[in-house]
Amino acid sequence: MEFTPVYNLPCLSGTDYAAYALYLQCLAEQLDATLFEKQMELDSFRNRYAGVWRNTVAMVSASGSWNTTVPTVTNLFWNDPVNPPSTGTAGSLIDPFRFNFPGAVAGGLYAVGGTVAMNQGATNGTYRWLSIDPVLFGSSGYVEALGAQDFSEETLSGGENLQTGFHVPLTLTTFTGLEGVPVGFDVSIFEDDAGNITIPIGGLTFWAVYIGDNTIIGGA
Amino acid sequence: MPGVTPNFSLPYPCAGETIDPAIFCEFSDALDAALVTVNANADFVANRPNARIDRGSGLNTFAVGVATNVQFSTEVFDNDTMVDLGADNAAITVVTPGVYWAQFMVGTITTFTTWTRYRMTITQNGTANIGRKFIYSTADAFFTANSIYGVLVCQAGDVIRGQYLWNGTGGPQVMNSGSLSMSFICDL
Repeated sequence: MEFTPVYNLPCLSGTDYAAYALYLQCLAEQLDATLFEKQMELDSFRNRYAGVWRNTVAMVSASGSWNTTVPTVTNLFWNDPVNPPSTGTAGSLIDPFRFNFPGAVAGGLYAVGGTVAMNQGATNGTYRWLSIDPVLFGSSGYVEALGAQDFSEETLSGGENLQTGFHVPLTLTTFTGLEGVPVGFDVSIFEDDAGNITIPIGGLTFWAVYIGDNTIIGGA
Repeated sequence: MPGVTPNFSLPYPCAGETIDPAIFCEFSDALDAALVTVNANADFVANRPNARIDRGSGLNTFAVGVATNVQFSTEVFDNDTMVDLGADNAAITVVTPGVYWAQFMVGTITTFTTWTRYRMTITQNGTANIGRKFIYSTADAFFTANSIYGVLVCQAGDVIRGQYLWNGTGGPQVMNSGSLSMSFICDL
């Protein structure tokens, strides 16, 4: 029996008249394998890694200092059942909030971003600050900043503040997924007066979407 | 009993079975069905659900301090019947469940005395899931356009809208451009 050069499909030759059954089996199995490979490639493209996470614990800035609570998150969506993500890792005040990708994430181009809705206490402070920093973490902690978004307001009257509907714009960045090197978000909030600001339960929503592997960006 | 392949159930005769034309027919039918399955997936990948609607002039205006859904006048593209401007010109309705990239833009805003801030929101079934407040000074440079965007986890039938609110004096504001779009990222 001979085989075609590209997809390795079997061809009957002049001496194979007794091998029809084997021929059909070989043809069927090779077609099945080829189609299945294409189907998996399509599924992979159609269902690229994507995750959406939301906080389940409020984040509070003590008066005149940085936030003192560390929110944990729940997964609104994650499409890799083999590698379930962390549900949030408690950090220090330097790393007050982060979620982890699973260890075996694919390397390549990811779009990461989120939305933050904040609430303010009864008293307006005069200076408020919010920082969102996507970062790579290693076994010993912080490794590399992937891009940051800082927002602040000063001396604003009531109502003109960061209290509601605060949106973190897209941070488009790349990183190489490595076993045991999670990606997280640092979130810090600060208010210098008695009107503590809080991020309520459900006020933090972060997302990450895999765009493509390193070959499309020429990375390592 | 013929054997079948593990993924697409393509039939083949086992040793000792009679080989007649029927097995070739069954094989072809199964192969045909497998190709339909793979091609359907390929078509979906090449044409993932996307919709965008644009705003021109002559639509709804915006009273100071009132969150108002932005209306749109032009369907730029829609490959999943998500848009029906005749029935609702302020919405994109999700048909295929999935994770979507949402974007909302406003622009060419006129007719106000003073303008101190504005808020843009993308709502999902009435809930503000993406939003941002902007501080604005009338004395600043001429306002042209601004956008917000983010990721939404959507079910079929979810209604997506762009909402705009401004504070200042005068008005109501007129908005002569803008857009709302939804782009499929992945299945749920």
